[in-house]
Amino acid sequence: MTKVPDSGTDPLPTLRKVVSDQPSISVRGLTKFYGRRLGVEDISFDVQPGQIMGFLGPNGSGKTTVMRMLMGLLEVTRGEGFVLGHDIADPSGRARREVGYLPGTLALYENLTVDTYLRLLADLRDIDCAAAIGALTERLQLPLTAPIKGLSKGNKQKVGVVQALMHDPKVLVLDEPTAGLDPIVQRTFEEIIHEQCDRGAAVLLSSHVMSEVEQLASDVVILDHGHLVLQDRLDRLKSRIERRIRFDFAERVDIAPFESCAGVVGVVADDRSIMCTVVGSEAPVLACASRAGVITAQTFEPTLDEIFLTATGGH
Amino acid sequence: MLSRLLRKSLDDRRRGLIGWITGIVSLVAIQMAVYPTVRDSASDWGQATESFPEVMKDIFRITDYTSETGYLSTELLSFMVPFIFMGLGASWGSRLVAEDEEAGTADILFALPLRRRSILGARAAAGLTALTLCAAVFVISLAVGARMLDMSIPLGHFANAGLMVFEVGLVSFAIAALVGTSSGHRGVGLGVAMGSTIALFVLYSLAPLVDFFERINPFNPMQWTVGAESLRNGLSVGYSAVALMFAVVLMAGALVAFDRRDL
Repeated sequence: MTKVPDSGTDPLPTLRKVVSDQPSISVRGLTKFYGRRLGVEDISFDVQPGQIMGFLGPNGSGKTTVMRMLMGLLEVTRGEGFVLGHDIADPSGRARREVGYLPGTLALYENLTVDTYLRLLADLRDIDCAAAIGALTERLQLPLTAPIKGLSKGNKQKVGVVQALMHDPKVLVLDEPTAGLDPIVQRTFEEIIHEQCDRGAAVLLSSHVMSEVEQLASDVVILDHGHLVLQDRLDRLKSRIERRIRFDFAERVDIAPFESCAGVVGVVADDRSIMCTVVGSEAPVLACASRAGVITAQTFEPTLDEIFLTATGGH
Repeated sequence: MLSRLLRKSLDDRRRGLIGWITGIVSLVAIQMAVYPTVRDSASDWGQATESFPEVMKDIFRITDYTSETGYLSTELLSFMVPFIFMGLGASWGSRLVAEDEEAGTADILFALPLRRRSILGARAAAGLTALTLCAAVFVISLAVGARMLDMSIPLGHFANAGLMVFEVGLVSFAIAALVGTSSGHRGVGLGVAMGSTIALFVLYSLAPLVDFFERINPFNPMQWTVGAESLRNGLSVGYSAVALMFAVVLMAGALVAFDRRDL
């Protein structure tokens, strides 16, 4: 069960520490059909407390559909989902009590000011968020008294970020959270997400900005055409994907031992250097290079872009 | 906390509500202002209305036009004020949640830890408050006008008339709520509610002329409300109860449909 210990021992005094021995988000066989049209099918994954899960996929792959099902906005056709142990199909909304949600297409009440809008949402949650609203808006440099109607896209996005975070949630479901934010605010946002993660909040983060997901997420789930095609720790994924290692030698060396080396799927020689393409463990090729008298070795890690393109077949 | 949502709904539509109230007060004031002319030349007006074709008198339920009750029933309650309340009900009913859905603001609102039916209930309460307020303003306008013109109609009869127009608005509100929440489109809710209540009104109006319409008239919500002629006949508890039940059933349908729908 999820427990909230005394905040007196918390290194981040304004945030509650989340302690739990069960997944914060758990979906099993989650399926959604819009009439006969497939939304997503048989999606299963867990997000543990303190974990940031990157949620990736091409446009129309079903990321938003899964997030909207988690938030109770879409009916589940098949399968089940739990947020903090509460069934997402429960109409009482209990599953959403400790969840912060930022929708992919953000629309706010344009006739309100930032302050009145955020206070309205706090009132509807029946909690006092005044201190958190003040701290978050100051940190994101968001003018509280400004009418929402006159805000730039970036500032509206900041309002969306604040409303998702202001009640100190244990779970964050963020659909393209940095859309429209400038690089400085993106950095602040990343800091905030890391703080949330450090205190034990689970984060499900969808983004088209691979570098951002790479920066934030420890794990990724990749969807394609409504199906889950890849799910793993980011570092393990990287080790499973082809990557290149460049070896420099004092003189030209024979490439035959490299070509027959375990894990090596490609070798390109260039004067006194050899570029190997490796899958799996790098140990055999490193040993081979060592025997050949390598001077320097440089590894080119696969980017999340490359992982994504490999997983989705390049579309 | 849901009272906050109710207050917001009323705040958001404050100007529109003031517009509806101004329209109702103006209409009552104008019709009341004409009444002394009718009263002072009752015999001329009586002859004039007697000379109206029977068809027209049947359609507009014109009887005893020069009396205080007959005049107000014909000029205000036969179609003008009921039509205002049809529009008022359809406008508020169609917006219950469809406005949020169309604007995209529903995503954050319905991701809050609240039951959908609670949010719908708060919005419906705001709509019913608006209808009640407008009906009360109508009753007060009638009472003030009657006092200024030394009319002898008891206040209770005006209250009955207020309840009648409230029920007309309620029927329209409930149809718009059912269609708007089921479809997620405000325009569809508004259009269907206005179209269907006007069609029901036409059926009610033509009932004295067409046998089939007369036969189905007891099942027509306009007969339960406008047809009760409550200013003249007093409150029809049976008709009022049926109209309220009809609205409750439609609202329950709206709740069920909305509870299970994708947003």
